[in-house]
Amino acid sequence: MSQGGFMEGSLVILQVLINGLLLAGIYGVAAIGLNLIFGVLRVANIAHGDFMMLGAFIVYSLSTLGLSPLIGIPAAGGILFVLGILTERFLVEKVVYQPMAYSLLLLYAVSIIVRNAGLNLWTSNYVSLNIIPGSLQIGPLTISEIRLVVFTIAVILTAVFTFILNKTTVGKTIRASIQHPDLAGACGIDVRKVRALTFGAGTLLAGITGTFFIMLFSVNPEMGDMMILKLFAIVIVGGLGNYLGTFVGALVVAMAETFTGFYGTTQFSDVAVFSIFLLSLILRPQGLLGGRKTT
Amino acid sequence: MKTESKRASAVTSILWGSLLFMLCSFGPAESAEPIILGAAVSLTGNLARSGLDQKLGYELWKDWVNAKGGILGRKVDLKIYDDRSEPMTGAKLYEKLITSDKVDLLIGPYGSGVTAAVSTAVEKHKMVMIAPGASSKEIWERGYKYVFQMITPARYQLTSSVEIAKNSGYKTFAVINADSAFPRDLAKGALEDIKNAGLKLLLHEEYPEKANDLSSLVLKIKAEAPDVLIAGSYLPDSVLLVRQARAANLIPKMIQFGPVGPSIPDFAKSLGDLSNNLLGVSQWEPSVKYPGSPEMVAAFKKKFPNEEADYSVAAAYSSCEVIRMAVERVGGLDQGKLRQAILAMDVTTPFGRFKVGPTGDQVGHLTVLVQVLKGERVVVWPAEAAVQKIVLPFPGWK
Repeated sequence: MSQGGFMEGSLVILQVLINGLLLAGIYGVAAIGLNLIFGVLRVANIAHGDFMMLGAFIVYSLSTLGLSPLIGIPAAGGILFVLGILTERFLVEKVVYQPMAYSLLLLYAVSIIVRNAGLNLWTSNYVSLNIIPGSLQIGPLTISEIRLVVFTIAVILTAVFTFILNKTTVGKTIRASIQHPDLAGACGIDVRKVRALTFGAGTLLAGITGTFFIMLFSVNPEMGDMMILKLFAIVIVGGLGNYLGTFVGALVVAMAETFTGFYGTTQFSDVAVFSIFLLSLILRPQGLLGGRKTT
Repeated sequence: MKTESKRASAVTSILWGSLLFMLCSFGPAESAEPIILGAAVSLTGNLARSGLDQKLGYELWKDWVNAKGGILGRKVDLKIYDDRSEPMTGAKLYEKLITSDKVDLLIGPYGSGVTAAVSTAVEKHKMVMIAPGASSKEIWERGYKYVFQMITPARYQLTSSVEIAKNSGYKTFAVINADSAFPRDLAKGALEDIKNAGLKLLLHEEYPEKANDLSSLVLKIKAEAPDVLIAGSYLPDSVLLVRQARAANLIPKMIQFGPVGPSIPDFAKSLGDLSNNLLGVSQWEPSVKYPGSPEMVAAFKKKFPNEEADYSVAAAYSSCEVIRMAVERVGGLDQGKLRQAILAMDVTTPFGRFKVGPTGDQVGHLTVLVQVLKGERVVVWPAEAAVQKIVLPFPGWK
């Protein structure tokens, strides 16, 4: 294809890299909550995408009432945190450490309930919030402002969670609960409480991610489908239970997508993503940065 | 003398009386028998909204035609069932309309899926049916003889856009589309039009309908720097494309979407200022000035003050008009003759031009162009329907 006077070859690669990095931020923040829940509870939360949807539509509903997303985002986070704790206490807690099929089915039911409640409340129409649509121009390179903001928040959230898990007492109790739930319980850690709090934190992250999605994409209450498979691929490529790994997984997946999109076609992007997923399952089933650790 | 005249007058009155009796028993009874139009539309299920619009269109037309004396001096009545948005239910109901209700004329259901199923039943009984709610081309590729299309199929929906681009002196094109049936047909049509017009295609690419990143595609388009960008898309990908085009400062001279984009209210609602000056197409808009259209819109507002007249209403209303014209030309209800009459027609209804090809597909109706100007959706083409002048070239993102 002709690049006639548009950008030098190396600059084009840089632009694709920038686009990939910004996309990785969105994927990373979406996947980290999923990984957190898996790490502590050993359940694959397939309702994660639907919790994202709730966050998105809470912010949307508040904005139709005239409230700024600066209020809407924390509100969505708070509501989802409480909802997550309730879901864990009354539902997920019953199947924790049971065979995987139990929790999968249970969370699938939760997913269906949340989605259909969403369809009833907000109809199946696509909605979106148009916030900071512009871009930074650096020479011939362009950087989407909203994606830059989301990327920055994603990096901060990852850093905060990594710090909490590694350097604080709360983090130590969580890690203890992951590594030896029985022993942790014997040492006086309220493992049930840790599980509920973790699930709450995971859904809080899902909710906040959802609020980003409605600013980046046009979504309806069925948006959970849009991402959930890719999020699992990201978590597994990076390493289950490994938070820095999730970010690396997001980076790999996003770069695969943007580079395939540019040098091949966007249609092949998902082929590339899931080929990498398969390869990593075969070659490095523990994930790029190794799994079952918290660092 | 007196008795004779009495007898004569008695004979005359008997004669007059029996004539009156004959008139009563035959003439008026014949014209009191209404012509029944039968249809099944989706009043429940996922197509309910558009199905209901279509029903409103049928009812509005019935009022109008009866007010001006019906067809061939006979009143018109409707028999409308609910197909629950299910193709099989639709087919069964049309069987019932034909064989058990014995309706005189048929009008179509809503949606390509239901129409495809229904048309098989209709064709079997050799009944004429105009389908006001089916844009698929496959329905008219099966060799059926009695089914006619009312709305512009995907293939021709961007034809006017390519022509406008050409008339504006734009020569190079990038065409992209989501990789599902309808957007693909839209784009294929545009590609053919571009080729036939001798214009230059720089890039054609498909993307997954559920893509969540189009930055690489946008970058490729930017590298090609086409005069015109044409996108066959649905709403979520349209919104994503506009956002990423804005972020990448992609500024072609014309940005054209299909029917799902600037022509639907949710597009401008989702994108705000970013939707300005983008172009979409529409089958019909309430502001068009085709003969009979403003009157139809006014009558609609009066009869259904809480509803909005959208294209489904206009297409339904006008397909009844086509049937009426055919019946009046034939002077009866013979289905074979009606078919010939419809094939030969080139008329303008409140919905626009109606002319079908030999297989019954719509070739005469043109889409109107809609542009978002200062946040408002405005018809900008064709001239006889335009509310404002089209804004070209695209002035850039705000």
